[in-house]
Amino acid sequence: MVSPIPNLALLTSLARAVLVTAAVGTLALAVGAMVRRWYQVRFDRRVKSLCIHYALTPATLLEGKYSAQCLASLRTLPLSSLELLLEPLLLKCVSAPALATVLQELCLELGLIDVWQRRILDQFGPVSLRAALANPDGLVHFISRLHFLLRAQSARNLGLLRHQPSWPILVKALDDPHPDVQQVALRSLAALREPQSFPALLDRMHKAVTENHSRLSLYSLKVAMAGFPLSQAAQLLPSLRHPHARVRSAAAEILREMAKGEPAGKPALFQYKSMLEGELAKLTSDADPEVCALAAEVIAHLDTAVSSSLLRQVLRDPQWSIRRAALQTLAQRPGLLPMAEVQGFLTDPHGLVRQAALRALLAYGREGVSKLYEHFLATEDEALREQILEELARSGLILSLLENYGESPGNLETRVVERLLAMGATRYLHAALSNSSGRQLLQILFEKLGERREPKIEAWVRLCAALDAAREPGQTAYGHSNPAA
Amino acid sequence: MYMWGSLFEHALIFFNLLILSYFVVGNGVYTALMFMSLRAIWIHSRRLAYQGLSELRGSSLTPPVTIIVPAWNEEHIIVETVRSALGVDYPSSSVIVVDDGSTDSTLKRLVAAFKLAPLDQAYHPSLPTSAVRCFYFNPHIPNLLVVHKQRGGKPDALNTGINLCRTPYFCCLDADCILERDSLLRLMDPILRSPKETIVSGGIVRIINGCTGRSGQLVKVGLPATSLERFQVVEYLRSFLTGRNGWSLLGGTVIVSGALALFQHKAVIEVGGFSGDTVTEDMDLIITLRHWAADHKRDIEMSFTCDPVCWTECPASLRMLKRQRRRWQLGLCQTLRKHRKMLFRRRYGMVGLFSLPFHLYVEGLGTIVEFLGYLLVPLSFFGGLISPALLILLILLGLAYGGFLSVGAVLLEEMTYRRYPKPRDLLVLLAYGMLENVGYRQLILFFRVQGTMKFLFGPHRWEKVMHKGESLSSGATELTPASANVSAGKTS
Repeated sequence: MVSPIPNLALLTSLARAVLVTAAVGTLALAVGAMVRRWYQVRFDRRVKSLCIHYALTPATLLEGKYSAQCLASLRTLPLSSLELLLEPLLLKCVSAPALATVLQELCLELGLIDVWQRRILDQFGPVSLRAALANPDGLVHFISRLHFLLRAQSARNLGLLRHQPSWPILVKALDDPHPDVQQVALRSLAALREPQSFPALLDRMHKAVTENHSRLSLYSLKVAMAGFPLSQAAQLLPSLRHPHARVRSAAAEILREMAKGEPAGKPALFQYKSMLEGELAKLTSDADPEVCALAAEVIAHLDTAVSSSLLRQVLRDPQWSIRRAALQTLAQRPGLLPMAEVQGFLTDPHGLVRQAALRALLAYGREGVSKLYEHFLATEDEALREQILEELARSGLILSLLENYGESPGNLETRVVERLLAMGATRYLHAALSNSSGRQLLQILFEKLGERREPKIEAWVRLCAALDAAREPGQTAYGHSNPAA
Repeated sequence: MYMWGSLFEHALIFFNLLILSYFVVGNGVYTALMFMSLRAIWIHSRRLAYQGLSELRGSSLTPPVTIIVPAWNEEHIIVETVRSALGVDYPSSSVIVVDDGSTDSTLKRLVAAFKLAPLDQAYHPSLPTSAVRCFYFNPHIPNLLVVHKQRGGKPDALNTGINLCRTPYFCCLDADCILERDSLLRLMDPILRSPKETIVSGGIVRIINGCTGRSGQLVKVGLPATSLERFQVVEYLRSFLTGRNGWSLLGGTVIVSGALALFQHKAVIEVGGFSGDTVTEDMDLIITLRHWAADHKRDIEMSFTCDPVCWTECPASLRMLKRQRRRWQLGLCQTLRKHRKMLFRRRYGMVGLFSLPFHLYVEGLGTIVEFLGYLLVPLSFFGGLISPALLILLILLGLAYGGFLSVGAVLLEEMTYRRYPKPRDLLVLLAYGMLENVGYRQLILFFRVQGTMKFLFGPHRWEKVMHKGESLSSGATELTPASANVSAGKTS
């Protein structure tokens, strides 16, 4: 039979070839998966047994010593096996700096530090195929295009071990052709915190903003530099004056993070105030709102009379985001300005500034809370009242409001609760009384019911009756339906 | 009479060639993607050794993220999902659960499990949404907010979450998903490491059926018991490890699973948020973002990483599987129609020139072509157009090639993550990979054809897949004060 489909014979033979290839390929892939599993399990077992054999566990190493016999035995192992053996221990150095010291010594003895340094400089020694195939990752040593994996891993190891003399090599690695190596070298430099490497990082930070071809992200550079001690702050001054706003904001962020990283106690930037005050004053009136907002956050760490006046200046800024940032700073360090200056922002035209002011007031403690209650009672602005109520609920203050309810006839809490009742906004009160702390409060009050002459109990009886009357299923404080009621 | 016979014969020949081209293009591209993924995933798994997540974890410069969980009638699993979202290992994260007018006890369970109380919060939407009814909050868990709103659909619920989000990035998480603890860090990593502006970062979704979980965390990974679920495990591996990863390498990503994806808040607001035009709002948003970036000459990136994992429950019954696949196919067709102007346009780069045309031909029209293939190839045989040997050859070829791609995906999994620790699990996966094309593929094809028919003729509405939440101890323990404080401490 002659088929009308053109080139049928060719198609058939092609299909046959593809079928055979696919079938063989499927089998090969399946066998590959099984062999891979077997190989990996066997390798994991071998590494484990080697660790036990050479007593290479964090516990034994933390005791500080490894025997000369152990060292001699380790020297007989091929390099790739040695690295794999030490890998789990190296990873533990992040959380155990004492282990890093012992491991550093061990790696120096075994010549590994030298090997890693040479690798970062792209000096790879010859590797036999047999040695390469001795572990599941061995092929990486054989294929030069994959050498970046080894360079990056070497840079990581030097950082994990905090090998201080390696910093110049790591700085060189910041110009490695592969971005991974650059990234890891940067992280290792951050771990070493070598002051001499800081200018190199600063230079890369400028390039990351001003040049398009930078392969290091600004975030990575900021994180790395923020880990350095505050003694490097002086080197950030040119960046704070840089014409590019993103450089200025990055420098301000780094400064803020450096200050945060200092131990608690006296203000972190206090000792650098003569150097920084002038620069920060300029930044508070920067053309870029983000820089201004960041400057407000840094100012707080100066904690001087000047910083208070600078903060006042920032609070007057026409940009709402800057005012909000300054208020958020005050919420962190309420001592910088008197509370009365914050209260003015409760009537700010922007809702988020009002919210920041409310939170800043709460940071002033008991006094701030009382001021909030007073505002709640005094204001005619319904939006502000709802905002205050929202913040009280968010900060869990409704219950403390109820705890003090009825203590004395005219106390603030009693007046606030009564105002809530008058507004019909009883939902928060219901909710607060229905949780475990609220139920406990009610129980204490009910136990005292016999002493009805006590004004607090009488007030509570009235309150409970009012709340009961206000309880309408499906109705919320402001009249929305509430299916979970 | 002769003329009609000849016409029929020519039509058959044309369809046979069409099927052949579909087979060659589809399998050829997927084979290329598989080999590309094989190399890339192998290298990626080596790079994990120096990834440096601890740097992200420990820095206060790491941007905060809001996890948005849209939920509608998810009473069985919602508490565990929220617990897993609250338990993520990330320096500053908050969770917004948007209850989209559930008619079951989703909201009640949330209120009870997290001891929530009503909150009257100001709501100023940037994106239009249906009305918000109430907010729920617990001062001891300040990074959790539950929003109860009128039913408006999943895109509407997501947009409500976006309106309430105050962080530069947000992560969408389906209400039936459990996040791995470091998923958020892994999703954020490519965004922060890239010198380019990365606006989307997607992760891999795995199947939770057969696994054991406790308090919102997975404690044991295993394979599900039924064949239907096991086929889906292999299918998910192929889809994520081969398909999505391969397209990402080519720069042609058009699908990032909405079950777990991180988005730049500003960019999503600029394109108007999630749209209700399609039933696959995730794919629609990705293509809309591509469209917007090209039109505004924005040099953006979208990343896909295969180690941030969220675990989801796959349909265990045919009925639910049918609903899911019909919806996916309907959504694909709707999205391709919506963005048809991008097809074959150079300004949209790889997406316009290659990715979208491929999805249109192989994933969209391909369903009809493949379905007709199952009818027309035997017809051609009976009509004497092809010989019995060729018929058998074609059938075997289809089965063998499908098996090749599925087994390749299992190998990818084995070479990299080995989430299924038992050797027996590997053998089972390989066997299911080889058998996937005998019966299961045809079943899925049938559902997809139904989806295409719905697109052409039927109603375009969302079909809900109900979840049982059996893999996790749902509603187990309530949040203890200690764990609540841990969550509280994260944002303070």
